[in-house]
Amino acid sequence: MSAVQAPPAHLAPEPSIDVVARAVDLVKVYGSDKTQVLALDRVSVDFARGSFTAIMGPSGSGKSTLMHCLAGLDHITAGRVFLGGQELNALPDKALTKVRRDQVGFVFQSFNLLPTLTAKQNILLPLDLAGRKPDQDYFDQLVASLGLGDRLEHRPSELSGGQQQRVAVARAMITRPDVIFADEPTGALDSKTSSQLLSYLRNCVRELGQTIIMVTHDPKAAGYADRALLLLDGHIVADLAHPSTETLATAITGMDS
Amino acid sequence: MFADAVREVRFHPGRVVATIVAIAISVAFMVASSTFITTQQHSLGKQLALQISKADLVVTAGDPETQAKVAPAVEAVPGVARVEESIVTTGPLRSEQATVMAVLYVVPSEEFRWATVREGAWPTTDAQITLAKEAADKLGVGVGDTVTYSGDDLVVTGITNDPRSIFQQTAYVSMAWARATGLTDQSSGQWLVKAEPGTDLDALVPRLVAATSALGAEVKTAETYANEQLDELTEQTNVMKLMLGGFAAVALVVGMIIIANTFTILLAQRRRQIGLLRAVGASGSQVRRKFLAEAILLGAIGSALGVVLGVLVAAIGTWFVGTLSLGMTIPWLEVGAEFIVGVVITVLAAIVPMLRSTRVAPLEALQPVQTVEAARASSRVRMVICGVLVVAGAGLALVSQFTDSWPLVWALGGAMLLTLGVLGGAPLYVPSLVKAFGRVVGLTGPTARLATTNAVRNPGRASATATALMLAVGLIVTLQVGTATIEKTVLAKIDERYPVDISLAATLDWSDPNPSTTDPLVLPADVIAQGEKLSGVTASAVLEGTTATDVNKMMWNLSALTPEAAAAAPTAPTSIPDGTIYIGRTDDSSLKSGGEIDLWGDKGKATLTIVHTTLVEGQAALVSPATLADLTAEPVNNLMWLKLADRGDMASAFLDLQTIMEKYMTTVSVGGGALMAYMIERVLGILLLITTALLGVAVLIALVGVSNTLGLSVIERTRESALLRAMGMQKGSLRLMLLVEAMLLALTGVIVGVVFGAFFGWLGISAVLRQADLAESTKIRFAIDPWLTLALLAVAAVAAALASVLPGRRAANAAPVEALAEE
Repeated sequence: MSAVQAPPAHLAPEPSIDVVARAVDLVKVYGSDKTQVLALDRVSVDFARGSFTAIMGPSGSGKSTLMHCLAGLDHITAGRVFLGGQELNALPDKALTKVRRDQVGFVFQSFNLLPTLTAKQNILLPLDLAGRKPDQDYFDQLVASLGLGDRLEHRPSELSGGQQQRVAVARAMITRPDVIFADEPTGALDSKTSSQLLSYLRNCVRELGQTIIMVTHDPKAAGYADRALLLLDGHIVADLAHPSTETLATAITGMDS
Repeated sequence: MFADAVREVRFHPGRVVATIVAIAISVAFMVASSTFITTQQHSLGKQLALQISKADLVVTAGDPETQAKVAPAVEAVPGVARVEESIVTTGPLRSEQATVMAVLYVVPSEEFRWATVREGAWPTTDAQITLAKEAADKLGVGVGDTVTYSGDDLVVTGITNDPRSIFQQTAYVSMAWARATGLTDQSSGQWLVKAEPGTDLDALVPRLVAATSALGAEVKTAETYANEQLDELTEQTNVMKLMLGGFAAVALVVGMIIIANTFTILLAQRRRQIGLLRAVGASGSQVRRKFLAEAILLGAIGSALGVVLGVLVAAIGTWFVGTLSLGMTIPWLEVGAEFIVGVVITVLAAIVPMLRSTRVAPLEALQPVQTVEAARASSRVRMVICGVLVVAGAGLALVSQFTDSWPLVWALGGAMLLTLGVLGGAPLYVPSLVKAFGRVVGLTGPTARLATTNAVRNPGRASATATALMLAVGLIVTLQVGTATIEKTVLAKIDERYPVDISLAATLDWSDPNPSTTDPLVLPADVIAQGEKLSGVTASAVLEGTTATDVNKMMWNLSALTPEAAAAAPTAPTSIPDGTIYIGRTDDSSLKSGGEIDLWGDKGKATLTIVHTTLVEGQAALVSPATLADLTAEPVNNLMWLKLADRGDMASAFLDLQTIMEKYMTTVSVGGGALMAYMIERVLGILLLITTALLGVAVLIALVGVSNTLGLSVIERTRESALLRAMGMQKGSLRLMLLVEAMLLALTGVIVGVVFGAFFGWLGISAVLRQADLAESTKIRFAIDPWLTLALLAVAAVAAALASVLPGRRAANAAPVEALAEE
């Protein structure tokens, strides 16, 4: 994958000052009465624009839940969530849907794409839904940088796992969202394809000022991020800056004891 | 085995609802029609057997020589309490307001009476009559009023509680009247016998037989007699059951398509379950047996519901016809057979999908479900076979247009092959058609475009769904086009042959046993007045004439054609030559055109030359005023012609005409091209309505199929719906997407059905005309009712919209989070 051109001036990042996503005393409870599960217990955290954050933790720690709440995919039980300046918990469904469409990008572990559409149609889907015309130059850039040029007319069933993920990334980026949420994006990929994808994501952050919040259980993947949050039983138990794979591995093993 | 099946159904009731509904509707149709007809048959039978309903035995004897000896012979047999001849006659019964056809019973003695008088009394003198309540209401009379029968005035002395009758009204007269009118001069040939209380009827019968066999009499128990009458009646009306059976068969075929499609989808969704079972060690046949049990269970549930629904519908129909008071007869044997048919077709329809899906290798079934169908190689084979069928069918159809030997058979054969080819080849063109329509609709936005790709993601399912609709709609349109074409063609012919719109002619009273042969027939003044006031009439003419007799003592009703008369029949000549007589076309060799006929009027004799015309019919004839003057000195009004502003619009005029017809049922003959056209239109209209309603059942089932395909497909697409929601698609847009999907499928099916239905309708009619050797003389006028076609499209669109509501809600409510969770 090749590097991407420098962004237009208005997207120049100011990492330390601009908060693009925030949770304040976030509580999320699943189920009712006897089967109640406290997934998130009064979590408060800020995410700066232009940062690459990894959220980690064992299963049941609440890391996916945190991402869903921040992204407006799920309703919270208590507390407040902000995204791109808007308070998500106060928004009605229609407005929330619009936020997801215009201000957020998603990359999931698998099943990212609509099987009936071609790669190109999948990439342009968010713009299509919004009724906006794509910026042809930007589209060409994205496609070229992700190496998808000869795959545009293929359906997902005709693409490899890695290609499908790259299409998903292109789709996530086409709307130039405030935040890209990635849920175990490399979970279904082999190590070589994984590192290629992760490098690309890191480049987007460095060169374009894109904000990425990634949920992962893989310390190697988290190593590509500038910041790692560790969750356990609904709390943030560690907030590491510039984590290396080794420190992460130690921290995680330490959590079990 | 069935316990599992029950559990499966209880767990996912929604998935099988559509199948159960389809089966229920088909079975209900069959049950309703056979129950309704059987009930009507029995009601009619009961009515016919009213007379003998209180008797124990019936004796019939047809030999006039010995009939007088029957009653005494019967009475002499020990065990007989009473014997009585049942005397009955029929004819029109007239009051001031109306005329009805009535059956007059001589009042039987008390032990044989089946009704009671609720007001007044039984008739005793020869000038009295007692009416059933319905008869009295229809005639608009009560106790004390007068009615006329066969020229005699009778005073109404009582009203009975007879049940509503199906054909003729019930009335009672006294024995005195029967004697006075000569009804008793001839024996009726039927005697009612009452046995002594406590007598064994089976023992009595042989004794009676012994006593009367020399007289050529037959003895039966009342029950046997009634059953025999009923059997005869049933034989004659069973043809109706067969016809309805034809429609039921259509509904069944459509139902089978739907059921097969449903099972295909359901089993595709359960591939994992199947794979798991196979992986765990279940054999292929064990898995198949499991699904067989489910199919049988579904069939049983659906058929049971269908039976209940069918009986309900039959009850409503019976109530509507007014015979519910006579009770309902449910033909349990037939209903049982229909129940079994419902189960059988379910199993049959499920067999192929079942065989296909259980042939899956265990591991293969554990892969994630492919929701988008890959193109199948079998389309090659299908293309060839369907291509051959279509070409062959078109060829046969072409032959039917030019051959003289059995064109109808060629046409039918061609139609069948074409139908098979078109329906069988659906997967080859339905997806492309849907995409084409989708492109048009897709101009409205991304939602519609997504809907189009979704509608064809599974070409096999889309085709099956559309096929069911094509079949049902195609049949309706075929019938409708056929009927409309016949109507238009026939009406054009009528226009040619009958230049007079409406004619009112005075006729010989056929109910009068002693009609006058000398008094001229006069058109009553109030008829003329009413005729002039008929709505839609722009010109009217009253013709004068007289009656004249020919050499065979036949009465002719002559009218003089004047220029004023011709105004009411624009194509008629303004005058006809003296010395000629214009009569209706006839094959009678003594009345050939150009021949001569001698006629005697009250003034004198005239010899006239015959000319055939379309202006009059039967015993009516036209002459010139001079000729009329030769035959009579006192002409009277005997013919009236009316011209309508629009020959096609007789609806309002018809009501007024009906009053005239009812009041003067036997003395005024109403005719004319407009009237004929109207009657034909009405009959065809009713016929069409009934057949459309019957086929509508099949359409309903097909539309249920649309809902089904959609509903099941949405279940598969839960993750996709969630993804779309996650990416920012509004709930309303998801619902709209499913609506468009449903509509695309439905409209494709309807449109193809309309096109082919119209073609087959035209093909059928032109073949029928050729078959009947009328092709030369009758120009076929192709007609398609635009309103019916639009109505079909509208119904399909609305049904599709309704069908998409629940699946749409399900898709829209897919929580973005839940569906994306890793399994």
